Amino acid sequence: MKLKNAYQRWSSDNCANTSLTLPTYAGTCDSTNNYTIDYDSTSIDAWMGSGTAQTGSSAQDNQIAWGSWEWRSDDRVPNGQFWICSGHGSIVADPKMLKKAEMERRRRELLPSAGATRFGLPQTDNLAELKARQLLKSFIGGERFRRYLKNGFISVTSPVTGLVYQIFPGHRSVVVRDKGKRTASCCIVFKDKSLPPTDWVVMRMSLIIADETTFYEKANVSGQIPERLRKAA
Amino acid sequence: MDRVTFERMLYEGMKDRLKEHEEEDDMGTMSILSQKGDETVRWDKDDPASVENARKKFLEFLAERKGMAIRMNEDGQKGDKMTDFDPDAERVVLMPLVVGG
Repeated sequence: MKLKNAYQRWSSDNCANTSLTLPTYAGTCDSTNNYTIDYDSTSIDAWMGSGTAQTGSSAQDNQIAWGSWEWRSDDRVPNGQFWICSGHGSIVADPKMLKKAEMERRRRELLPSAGATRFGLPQTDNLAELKARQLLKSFIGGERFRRYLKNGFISVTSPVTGLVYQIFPGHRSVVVRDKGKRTASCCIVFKDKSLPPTDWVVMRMSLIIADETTFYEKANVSGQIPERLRKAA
Repeated sequence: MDRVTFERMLYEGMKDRLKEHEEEDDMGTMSILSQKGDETVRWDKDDPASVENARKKFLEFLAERKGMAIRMNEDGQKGDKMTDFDPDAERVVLMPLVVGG
């Protein structure tokens, strides 16, 4: 079984004294996809112990289980995140690795990886764009922001009409969807075109959430203005 | 590795998160969108000087850039338009003039 990226070098070779049993790993796991792990370790500078841990997030069969949990036998690692390697039979938590993984995660949030889909946002070292992305992230949260980087758009649901808006960065139209069906597209732009593309997303999102009517008044709309908006107005 | 080194390394890993946590306070934040990325102005409603500074920037921006001000709640799920500065606002976005494209 392969370990991913930064965790690859932490195989059983690095922790030969660690023994591990994963009773629910082979074949099935419980209904919530949680894995219970019994571990018994005295290696790695003796700061791990014996006990039981349970993954906190879902994982699937034939995949490496990923989760965060508390080590009940040792308070010095209160909320570490660890990879469990069934094939190698090892649990390893190394502070250096945790720090590196955290830095890598943060870097990826701001600079999407080269392996991203062709629809995702390109990497950038433009400070203005990075600041704009950070601002957007502060509004929509980490999970939606990651999807934004991957897919290249965000979806915003209007609190008034319930319509869903697909918002793209830069000079692209906003797609309006009513119950999943595309009904219109609206083009609204900054007069000053030099603003970073993600600021355009912030602008459109704010307008839709705050004042949908003004959004339609300002935008060039092609297609039908949704019935629900007329009713709301 | 001794315990002190280990804890220091853990702390290094958590430092940014702790900093973010510490920054969660009652201060209002105004983001002014511009070519150089957003400029952030913060104010404490109990501090008249910072409120006045934010109000000044707010009015200047609307007068000069003919833009729009939108008040958002902390998680960005609700908002409304603003015409005058409100020290009780959690987050404000000031955007330059927008037009149909």
